[in-house]
Amino acid sequence: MTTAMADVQLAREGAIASFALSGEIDLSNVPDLRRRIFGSIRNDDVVVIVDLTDLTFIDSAGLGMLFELAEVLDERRQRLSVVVPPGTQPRRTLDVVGFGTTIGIVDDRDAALEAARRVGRPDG
Amino acid sequence: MPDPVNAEAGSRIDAVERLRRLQLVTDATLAHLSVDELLEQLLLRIREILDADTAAVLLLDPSRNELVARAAKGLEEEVEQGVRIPVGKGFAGRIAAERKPLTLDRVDHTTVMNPILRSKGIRSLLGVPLLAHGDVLGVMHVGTLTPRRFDADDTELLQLVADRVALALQIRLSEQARLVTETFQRTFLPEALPHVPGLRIATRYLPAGSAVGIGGDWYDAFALPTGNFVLAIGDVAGHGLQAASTMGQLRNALRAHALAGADPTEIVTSLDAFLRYFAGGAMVTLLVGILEHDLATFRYVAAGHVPPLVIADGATAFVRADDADPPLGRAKVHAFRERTATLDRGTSLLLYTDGLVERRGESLDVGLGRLASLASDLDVERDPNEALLAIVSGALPRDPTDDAALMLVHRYAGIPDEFSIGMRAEARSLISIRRSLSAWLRGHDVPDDAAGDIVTAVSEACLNVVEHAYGPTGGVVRVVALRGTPVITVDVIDTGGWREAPGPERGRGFLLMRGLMDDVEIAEHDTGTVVTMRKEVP
Repeated sequence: MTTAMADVQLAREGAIASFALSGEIDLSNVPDLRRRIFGSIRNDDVVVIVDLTDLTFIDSAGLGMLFELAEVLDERRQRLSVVVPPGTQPRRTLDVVGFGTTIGIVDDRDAALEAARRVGRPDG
Repeated sequence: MPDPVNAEAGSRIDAVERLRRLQLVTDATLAHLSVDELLEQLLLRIREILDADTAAVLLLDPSRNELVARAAKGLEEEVEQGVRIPVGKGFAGRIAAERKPLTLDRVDHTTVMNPILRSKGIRSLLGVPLLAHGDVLGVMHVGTLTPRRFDADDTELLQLVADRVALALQIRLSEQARLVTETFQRTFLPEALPHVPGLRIATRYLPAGSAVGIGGDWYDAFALPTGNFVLAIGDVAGHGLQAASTMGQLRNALRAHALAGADPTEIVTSLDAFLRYFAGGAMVTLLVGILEHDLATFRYVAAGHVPPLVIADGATAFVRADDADPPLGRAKVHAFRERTATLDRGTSLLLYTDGLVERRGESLDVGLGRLASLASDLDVERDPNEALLAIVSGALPRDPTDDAALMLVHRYAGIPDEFSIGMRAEARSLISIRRSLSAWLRGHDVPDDAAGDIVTAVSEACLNVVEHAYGPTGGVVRVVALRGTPVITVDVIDTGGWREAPGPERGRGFLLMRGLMDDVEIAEHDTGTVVTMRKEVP
């Protein structure tokens, strides 16, 4: 799953779908990334992790995609967790628009996965 | 109109008349005419001299081995209808195949293929080949509407005219071929070179001096969507339109592979296969590499190509490998290896083809040595383009028998205080703007955090222009930045209107600009909008 300047890797663990995004996201590749991410989420996914650890840039078009994803998942009672390590430019961008006030931001991908496992276990 | 009695008159032509006729067709003023004008004049004169009713010239189309009617008098339909006669068939076809004159006293479907000649009522024909250095260029023939026996004198005179035509044709056709090849060749060179702050790319393509040498060398330089740059230089063995055409195909294939994200090794491997599959037998030397957007690292493959020259502080060094890779298009599949050259600030990289250094009767090392000593005297930093010209005038042979292409890539030692870039207001321009601006900010030692904020805010302002400033015909977005102390000021300029299209994303865009920069001003003018942003940097 490669676009010219960004990459998406999907890893699944039970009902957890983790999308690792790398590279740069802007208006030019948002439509493509949106199609890939939205199209890969299954109805029985309980938690969706969007991991921006290896992302170096995101603009407002990319933020729009994340807000939309959050909305869609919330309607379906699926849970979204966005991983953005502190000190990165994407983190600064998300903080400036107050992303964390409406959607859960997690600092670290292992912590996100750990939390997801607790939720994702059907009888857990 | 000739009559049968007159047909015997050839032997009676006196010396004076003979001379007059010869002068008519060897007149020096004819030398300045174009091919079409020359044919027109000579056909008129030969028709008069030989007392014929029709005269025509057919030229050989070597690609189809057919004769094509090119000029005619009294037989204009032949040219208008683009009559084509296969070599070996019919009257003209036989002359071309046998390379000798032919007379016909009886014109019907058994002797003449071309229905126009028959329907015109032509009764007798005399034709001769147009020969130049043993090659058949075409056929010239005259005809009469009354029966006539063409004799040896007629044949000799027509052959004289034909020889003159053939010579003129050959000179003009090779001039034309040279012009066509050179024009064709130039269409495959990049329209514009990438504009990169801190970097200057200067290039030249120098066609060979002689008609036979031209064709096959090229260079290319363009930015990828990732913000990296592709630099390529190559040389297709052989000359002429064929070599230029192979070059054009390779250039396009190279661009396609590079755009799809291939690295230099993959590009060269694909082109090698492409060449063997689609252009069997062609041999090509190629150097293709990717210059990272930080402008410091050049990763490349040199397939049988002359080594790049690094110029730094008055010293030069060829980047050579002991295990050099072979040219493309060889019979055996080869595993090409990627090399790396480092481009420090104030350093230049010279890519070139062998036409620049090779001279007849001289070893390649002598040419390379000459280039190296020439380059070590240059002050590239002051003016890269002038430095390139100095290399051209100093290294190129006086009468080049081969093409040469050069690309001088110079990374400036200093970073200019002003940054300026203009790009089409399209989504895919955004990354190039960010990459260029990043490089400039890094050059001014702006800390990563602050640089990231500025780049993000500028990208937002540009995105706003892309989405809202122009109608479907598009426009340009300009970014002009100034390094002050301690404040960096950036203007994002468009010449469009301010189309209101409110939405959460646009709101977020302005939120980002204001949140990341110290202040943001939006000035709307009749001519467009300027967004001015400032940020203090340590």
